[in-house]
Amino acid sequence: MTEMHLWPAHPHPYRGELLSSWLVRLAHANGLKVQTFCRLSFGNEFQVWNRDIDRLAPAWLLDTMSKKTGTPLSRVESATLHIYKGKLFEHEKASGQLPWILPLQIYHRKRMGFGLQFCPQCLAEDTEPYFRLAWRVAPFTFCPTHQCMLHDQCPRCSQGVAFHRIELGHPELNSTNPLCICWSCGYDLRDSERAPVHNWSSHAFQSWAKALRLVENGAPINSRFDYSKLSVLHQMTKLVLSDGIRGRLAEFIATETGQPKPKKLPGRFPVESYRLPERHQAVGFAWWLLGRWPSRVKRAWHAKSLRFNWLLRDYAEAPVWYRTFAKNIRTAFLEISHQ
Amino acid sequence: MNTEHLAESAIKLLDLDDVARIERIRSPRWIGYPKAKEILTKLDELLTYPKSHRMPNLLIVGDTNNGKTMLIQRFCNQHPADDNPNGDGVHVPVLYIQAPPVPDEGRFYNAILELLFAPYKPNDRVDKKQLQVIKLLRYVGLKMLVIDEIHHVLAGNLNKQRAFLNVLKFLGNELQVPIVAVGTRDAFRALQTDPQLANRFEPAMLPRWEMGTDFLRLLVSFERMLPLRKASNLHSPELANRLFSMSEGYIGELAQLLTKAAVLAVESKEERINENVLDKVSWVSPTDRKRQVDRAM
Repeated sequence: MTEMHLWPAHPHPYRGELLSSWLVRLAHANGLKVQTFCRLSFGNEFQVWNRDIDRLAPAWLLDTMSKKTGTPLSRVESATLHIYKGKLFEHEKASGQLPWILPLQIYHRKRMGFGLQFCPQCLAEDTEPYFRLAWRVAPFTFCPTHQCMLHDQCPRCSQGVAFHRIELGHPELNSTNPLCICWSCGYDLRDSERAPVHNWSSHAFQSWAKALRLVENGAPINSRFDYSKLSVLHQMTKLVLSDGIRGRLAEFIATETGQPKPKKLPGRFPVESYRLPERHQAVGFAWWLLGRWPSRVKRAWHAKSLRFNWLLRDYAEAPVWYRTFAKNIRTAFLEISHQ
Repeated sequence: MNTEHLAESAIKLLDLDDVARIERIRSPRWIGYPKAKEILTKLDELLTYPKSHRMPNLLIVGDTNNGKTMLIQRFCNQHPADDNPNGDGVHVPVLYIQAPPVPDEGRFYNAILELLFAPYKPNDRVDKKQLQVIKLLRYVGLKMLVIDEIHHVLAGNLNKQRAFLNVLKFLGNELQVPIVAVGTRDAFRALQTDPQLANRFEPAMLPRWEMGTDFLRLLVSFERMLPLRKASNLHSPELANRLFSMSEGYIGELAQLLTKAAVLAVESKEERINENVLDKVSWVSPTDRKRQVDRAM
């Protein structure tokens, strides 16, 4: 192949679409199954589906997709989680937990985790259902547009979303399903329940929905939103889910808000490994804690539900405003203990 | 210099040196003539024919070397495919394809997919390839399928021929596009074997030329396109008769003959085609060519 010819069908990515979702749509548009299409387009030595292409975005893949669809490379790159760099997480890394990005827990070509959520109403309103980048983001537990809870599994068979496996084991299949069909049981995810968000703190949910809308729009720079807030939110969520003094911080917030405590996983797990309902509660608690900054955190500290030295624990990239506050608390603590 | 015998485009070529001019003489050119224009008009009508469950088709029948392919390629060049990088898929209004050398459905699909630059599995099951072909041809907005060398269908037994013709019928029905088949008289007979196809394919003949006004007009058109500095008057009775007998009324042969003669005219500084030049052209008429082989056997 000296000259690069476009694929005869080359639909462009939708707004906020995941690279993997776009790739599957491309394969179907060209009348092939996903695995066949990838083998023919990238060769056998380049495996696509045993890695998280939305996060790693290998150059050979982006390059081919850009050339074969007549899409600028920058547009192809913006279909990867790369667009959240510097907003949801500081640095990209090839492995390990990225802050705020849900892990897929890949095992060969299976997905053992539940790292791709979906809003049934968004899918239902699409002319061609597709999956969004924002749905890989951990605090994105409800849809800011439709005010309903997201799902992270098929309501019928409880399997995670893996649309690249739609045709597997169906050799007789000759029409391709839309991406919103469960790969395992064939359930149409668009029919999932739209559970309304339980809004127990209008202020917290307002800030939360605003942040989610930004995430949905690719986290634009010029939005006058301070993304360091999301980094502090991550630290707060971590504290809510921590075992420190037997989980007293979560207890404190539960008492203050009258909401049930998020059920903890045994051991130390990052917030991104929590399933959707627990994650939703924990992030909600953290938003509440950030509200009326910093009075609630101070109250928690006064109530002895929070130790000052936790605030900066394992948090090297803390923003200046937060660091200053943590230092003030420390000074106050030292004064008290001095007396 | 008198250039009344030349068309505008040919006059421009006169300034080139001999080597470049010879190259231009040898490159293929399109000469419009009434019958060809008639068929082109028919093709244009077919292209804009509203979709229906029963699309009209066209069968262009002509003897070998009589300008069928040239005609159809002229039409295809007027409706080129577009990569359409900003849209959702390439645009292919007219797909020109040669029938595979044997009536084989799989190979036919492969050829189509190959032309579209689609990723495909050459050894995939035929039904899957068929689905892919139909899906893609719909996607690229196909308006007409042109199949050249349709007489290749004959290179198989009757069952195979029948099956292949059924594929054509199926594609036409499924995509609701007119099919234009191009081939020799044998192709016409092949299509007649299937009554359903026979009454759907309207034949359009490209017959051999006869000595007459049309042929003389054709010669004038040729002369206007050949960048020679002097007028040859190809339509003068002696020359015209001679050219007609040498080419035996095949337009392809005529084009070849005139190309050779024009090249010779440039090389010999004669700058026109006359009896003298035609004597020197190493030319064997089509019939004699066949005989030559027979004699050698």
